[in-house]
Amino acid sequence: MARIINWVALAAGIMLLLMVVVSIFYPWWQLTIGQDLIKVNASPIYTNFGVFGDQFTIPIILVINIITILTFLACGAVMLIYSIVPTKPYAKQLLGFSYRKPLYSVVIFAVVLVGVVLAANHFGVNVPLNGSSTVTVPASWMMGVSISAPISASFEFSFYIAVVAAALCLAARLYHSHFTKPSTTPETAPPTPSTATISVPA
Amino acid sequence: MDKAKFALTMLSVAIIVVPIAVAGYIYRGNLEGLVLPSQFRNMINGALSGSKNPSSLANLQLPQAIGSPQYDPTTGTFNDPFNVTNPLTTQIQLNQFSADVVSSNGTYLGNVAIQPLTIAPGASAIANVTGDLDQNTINQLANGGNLNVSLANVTVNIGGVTVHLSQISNIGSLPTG
Repeated sequence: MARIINWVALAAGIMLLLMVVVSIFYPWWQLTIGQDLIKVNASPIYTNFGVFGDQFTIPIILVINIITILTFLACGAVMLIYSIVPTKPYAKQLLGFSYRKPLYSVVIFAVVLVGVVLAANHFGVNVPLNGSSTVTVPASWMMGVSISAPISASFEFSFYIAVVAAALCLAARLYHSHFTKPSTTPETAPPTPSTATISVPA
Repeated sequence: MDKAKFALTMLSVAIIVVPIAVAGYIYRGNLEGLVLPSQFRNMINGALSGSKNPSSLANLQLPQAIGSPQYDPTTGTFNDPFNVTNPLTTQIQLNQFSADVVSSNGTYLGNVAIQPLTIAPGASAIANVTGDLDQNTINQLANGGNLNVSLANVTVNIGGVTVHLSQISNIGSLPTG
């Protein structure tokens, strides 16, 4: 008998693990000020900063990154396990554990990023979400010194991999219903012993 | 089914608690280090003696003058070479430096500029400051007058970042005849 596999979940699990590996090396979103003078590489997997060529991380953000990496690795592994046992009684627990977190991470990352960009724009610093602009710090803020710098920001391909992985996780959850639906094919009723008596008219 | 749920809950808790506990242990005597990384503090303070990282804002040195300014009285032009060292791990691109030279009472005397310059990490380069002086200034210098000068409309573009200052007062006096 062929093994029942949730192929969507299998793809989601592989994509999650691939996304973790790619995101360690490539940020989800990158901000560059000047000619590489200041760089911000942001992602839930690995966030770091570059100032005049020096790279550094903020330890508390690194801790959050490590928690996210471990979470995604666990989600990927559990999703792979689920994909090969989608009909087991504990399958729903495995799926519930593994599909939500990547989805939430992508959504929360996007929401926080949009919030930060809107907040910066509110204070007069025109930071693009995706594209280029020139930031000007008014002279009144800097004791008569006016500073302007080109600034560019872009979502990197690793972000799109994360979006695909999250979408596959959601699809795996939706596809799970195929394994839990009651069968719609009419079953042949087994012959039941008749208790009725046929009366034959005399 | 309950065992699976329990195992996954424990896994979630461990994933969150263990990194926080390890970080708390590592930074137990220096909790501010969790927020302010040592590299950043070193970069600001310049406390990098013995560090692998040679880069520091505090290691930035002022340009060193090479010899004395060369002045051509017939054309009113001068140039003054400076040695500039880049202590950073990234190249420095000085795209523009320009300013008006003005007297202490704001009279225009001339202008100065630097040719665009790119300095590789850890390398040095010669920045040639050139300028033109106004004819009145040339006459005043020829007569042995003393000119205290300031810079006005100073525009500096380093690495794409443009800094504009309306005035830098009393930078010194021009050599007189």
